[in-house]
Amino acid sequence: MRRLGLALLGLFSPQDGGHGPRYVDVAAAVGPFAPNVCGEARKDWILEVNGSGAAWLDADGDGDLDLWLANGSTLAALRAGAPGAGNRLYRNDEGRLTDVTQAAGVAGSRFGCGVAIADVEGDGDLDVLVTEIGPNRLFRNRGDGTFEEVGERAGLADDSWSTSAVFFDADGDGDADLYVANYLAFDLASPKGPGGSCVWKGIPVMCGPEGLPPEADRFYRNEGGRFVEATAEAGLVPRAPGYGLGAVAFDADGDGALDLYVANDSTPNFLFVNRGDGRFAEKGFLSGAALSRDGKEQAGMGVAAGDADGDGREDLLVTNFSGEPNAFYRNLGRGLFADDAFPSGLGGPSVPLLGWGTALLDLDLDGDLDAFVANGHVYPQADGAGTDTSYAQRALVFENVGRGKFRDRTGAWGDAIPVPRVRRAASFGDFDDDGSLEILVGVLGAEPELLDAQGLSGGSLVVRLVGTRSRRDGEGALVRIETGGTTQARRSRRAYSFQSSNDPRVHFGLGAASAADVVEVLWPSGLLERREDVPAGARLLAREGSGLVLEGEPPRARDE
Amino acid sequence: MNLRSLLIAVAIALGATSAGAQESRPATEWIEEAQRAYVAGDYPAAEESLRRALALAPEDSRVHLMLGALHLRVREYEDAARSFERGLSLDPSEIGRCPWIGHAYHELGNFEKARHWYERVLEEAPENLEAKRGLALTLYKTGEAERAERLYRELKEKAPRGSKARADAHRYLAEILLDRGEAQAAILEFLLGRTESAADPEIAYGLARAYAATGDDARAEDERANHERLLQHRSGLEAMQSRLRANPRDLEAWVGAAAHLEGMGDVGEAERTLRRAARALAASPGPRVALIDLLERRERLAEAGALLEETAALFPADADVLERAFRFHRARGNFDAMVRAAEAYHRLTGRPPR
Repeated sequence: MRRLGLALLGLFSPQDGGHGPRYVDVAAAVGPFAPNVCGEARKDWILEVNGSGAAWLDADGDGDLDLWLANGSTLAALRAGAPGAGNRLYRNDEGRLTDVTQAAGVAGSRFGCGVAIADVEGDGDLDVLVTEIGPNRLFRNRGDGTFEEVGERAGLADDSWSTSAVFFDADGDGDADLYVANYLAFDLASPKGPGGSCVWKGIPVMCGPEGLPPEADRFYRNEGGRFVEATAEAGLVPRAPGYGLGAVAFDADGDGALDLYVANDSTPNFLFVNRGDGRFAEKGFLSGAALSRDGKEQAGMGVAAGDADGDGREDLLVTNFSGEPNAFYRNLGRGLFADDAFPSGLGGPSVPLLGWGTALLDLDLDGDLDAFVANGHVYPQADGAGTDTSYAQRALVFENVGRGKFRDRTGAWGDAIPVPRVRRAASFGDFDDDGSLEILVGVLGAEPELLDAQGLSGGSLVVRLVGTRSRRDGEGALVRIETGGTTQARRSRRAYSFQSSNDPRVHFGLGAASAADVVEVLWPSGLLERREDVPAGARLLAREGSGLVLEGEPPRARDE
Repeated sequence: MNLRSLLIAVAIALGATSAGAQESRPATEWIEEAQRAYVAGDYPAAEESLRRALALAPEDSRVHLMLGALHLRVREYEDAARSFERGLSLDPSEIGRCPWIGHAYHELGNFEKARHWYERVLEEAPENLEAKRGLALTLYKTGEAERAERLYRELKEKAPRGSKARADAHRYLAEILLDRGEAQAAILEFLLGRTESAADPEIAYGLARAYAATGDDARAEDERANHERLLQHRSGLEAMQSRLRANPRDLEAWVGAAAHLEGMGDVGEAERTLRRAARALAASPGPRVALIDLLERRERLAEAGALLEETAALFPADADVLERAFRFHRARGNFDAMVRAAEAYHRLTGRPPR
């Protein structure tokens, strides 16, 4: 795999690992990018505030990450049935991103919200679901870098206001089923305007979500590339619908089956526990993961999952409204969680901020999961007096200092992070293939940021997965490494953050270690494969049933 | 947080003895005006009065501290913290009586400063329970569970029954135990917390999780339902209180607030609310009728009957009161009283009571 333009820092030689990244916004050098469109600046209506998502994906199958940006529209255009600003696809050309939207045939959109990626047909290329305010669209990849829109034909053109979507193998049959979080029913013809009972801190603001009817989420089973709605059949019906915004598939109870977590705005979050047969039970409240530690429902926006405290269990980070801490649901085992927002150090700095896109990733390559949160308020009125917050806000970045305790590094990890912006979605990927993770951050009504991690000294190890019995795109597989007696476990996962899709390759930081003693892949099919003594800087290809090989190396005999 | 009487308490505590206070007569009048507005729930007017006082006496620590209390009440935490800091810098002798500054920083998520101020308060006033409660919560939230536990155990012993500090002590001790995997012990503490604060949805939430952790799904589900019910009542109560702040003569809001309090199990406060409403709306029988209903539901029939007679005497020409009397006496089998009420109702309306 190529090492591209920005990777000039010799990152593959293991060093002390003690230095954090320095994030630099390289969007201008790598782009240009289309600005986000999301209604008018006044933000009189709730459909104007969420922004649109992004996805890192290898759209043309050439081995590097391309970029997909969804985009929105305006209330007037929606009412008129006019097209929105439209999707953009940027091809990765040696570290520059070139707009190939027209050639790829992907522009069509009314009001794009989220992006979800999967090889829905198992044919070896990646397809793209764009959730919309209006019928969702599925762009089928023809295999040559061009797409055709088949949402209606595939059974996915639900007319709700959809936000985040998760492709995951719910029933263990080796294909990508789909959960789509829906937000609320917005009356385009006569929406409720600002003021009246829609008041925040004594200031008239846009209405919603409270007071507007929530839309129920949908689940679809994949039947050979066509989707059949099976929400009730799968038990994915909660006691009451929520205002769905974020979603992630993870293993809540350690039974090996993927469970599903949904972050809801102003309503309790859902935890759908997989019974092992593709049917689910909603356990959010009793698990401790639906509400804050104080038992209060919060305004969940984005969500990330990962083993933040190194105990082998996947924890959750949920971003929330200003005045509420972001929630850090520490996984206690047996499907129970405790909101450790404040003890973890993730909650306190987030209180004045309104969080959206987020991740638990090893940003400094030292062997544990750090955290990133994109922030920005929904009310321009937040800039008024007495609000304890502001419209444009700094992002937050946290260093994991061990066992799930975090230190706020916002002011230390590059000048770009503290710059106040109205940030929304965030998509994470190693776009320049330098072993560290770049962050594409959507900015409401403006061009996105592309935060490049520079100055890192820790070694990395990257694992790309190709399933044969499990999903072709490898998602859901669990990768474990041992380095000098410590173990790290990471799951290949595209869908997390907010309305976004991410690099599914599994990235490990090795810190000062020169090699991983053992690398193991546990496939969703149950197959376990391993390889020993993998040097820092290595890029492994794990093909299910063919063992783990260095990229470019011929397949090895199976080593279970 | 006991904010209801916070501003009054600050004002009384500081009184005329405040070292930093300027004896400016007009400023004092504005301060008194602010107190009155605060008690009436008219926070904008209270703030306006305090601003006027501040213009006349910018170095008066009382005004800054009261402004802090007011900002805290209306959840403007940055302004609250700023005002408290200014007030305490003008008159450091008040630190021992001002744990509220810690609360302001706590609400802002600035636990370092919250802790600093709670500890300063406790240096000056080692037995200040509010500061101890705040410090314990800060320690708990910042992951210092052992120190928090010690403080909560102390509060459990020292804080008076029915106090927020004692309820907190049980509840957060339970949370600490639950985190440690001691679910049965946590259940006991949560239940003790419930004896201090019956209407607390957070305790129901904790109990639900603790029962779930022990595998007692039936009780866990009961507590889930309980939590939902309590939350609905609490949000309903907050909505009614908000309406009353806008219009203290809103009968429906008074009665609604009492109904939510009763639904949360706080019958005493529901009754007090209706008695306050009866005073505030002396010309209307509505609050009295609601109180009669409440007393009847609690089977305090003698009190209900007496209040009914009194109300009927006060409002002899009110059809609702007469009809209420008819139904009350019919239910009790008081034939003569029932007939008297029915006849009076008929004379007044020309039709029999329902």
